[in-house]
Amino acid sequence: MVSKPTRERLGALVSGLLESAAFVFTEIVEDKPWASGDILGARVTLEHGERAELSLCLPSDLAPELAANLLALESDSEEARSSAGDAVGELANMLAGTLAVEVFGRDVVCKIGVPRVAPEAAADHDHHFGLAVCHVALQTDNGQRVDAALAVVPAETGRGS
Amino acid sequence: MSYRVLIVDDSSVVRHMVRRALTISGIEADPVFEAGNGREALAVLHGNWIDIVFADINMPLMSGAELVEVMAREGMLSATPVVIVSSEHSEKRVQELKQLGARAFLVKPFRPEAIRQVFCEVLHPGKETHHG
Repeated sequence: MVSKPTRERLGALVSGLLESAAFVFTEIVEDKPWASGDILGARVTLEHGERAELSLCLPSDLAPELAANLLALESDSEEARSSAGDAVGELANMLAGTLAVEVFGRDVVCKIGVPRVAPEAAADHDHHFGLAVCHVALQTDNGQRVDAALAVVPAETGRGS
Repeated sequence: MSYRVLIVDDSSVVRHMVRRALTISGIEADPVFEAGNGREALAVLHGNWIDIVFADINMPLMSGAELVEVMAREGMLSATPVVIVSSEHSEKRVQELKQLGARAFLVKPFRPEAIRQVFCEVLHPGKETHHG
């Protein structure tokens, strides 16, 4: 890994992406265990010699709003609900593209995996969040939490792949 | 005049985003075909005249890079411009894809103005705008 992003840099990338792509405004907040509620997590691998995994986790009920904003739909529409997971995966994919250049450099081809999106248990989430080489917690202006983390994973065994 | 467009991405969200950006940017795209991977895209290309292709890189079964390579080898398809729409954007990656035959690169997330600019550069080089 050429350079590990700082918590502030990762937070700025996530915040900028959510604002520009999904019109959701966030700010960095203190890390703390995920209190309650369903979590939806998207994971994307980045590989160039070393293999890293980016995760983007947020409350399940925020996902349809992100899909609606990405696609200009009503947030309570069936299409927004059915596209929610795909939208979170796509946001993670966009974040991975930017992060790949920052982590591995502009002059290499970093292989970015297909996003894997799945519900997560709060305890599992907090455990893996804690193991990451870089992680950041953000909060939307509606008080919903969004976490992003970058972890180094063994080459053949990306979690969940 | 409308343009016949093919959008290739395994994510229905991205296909929707590209389709919407084309509409917002004032480009008359009709019909707009969709495919979930390179193989499906080739099936569409073999059965329909397409003016421009917007394709992702990472897709199951056949990637965007493989699609560009195959199109470059096929006489009729080699002239159909392919715009890569991807979150991957290292300089080396962009150069590789252009060497394979991709005509332009659009980094996600993108604004409608960006897709219009790329569209015009690819289909109407040398002109600032098109009839849209």
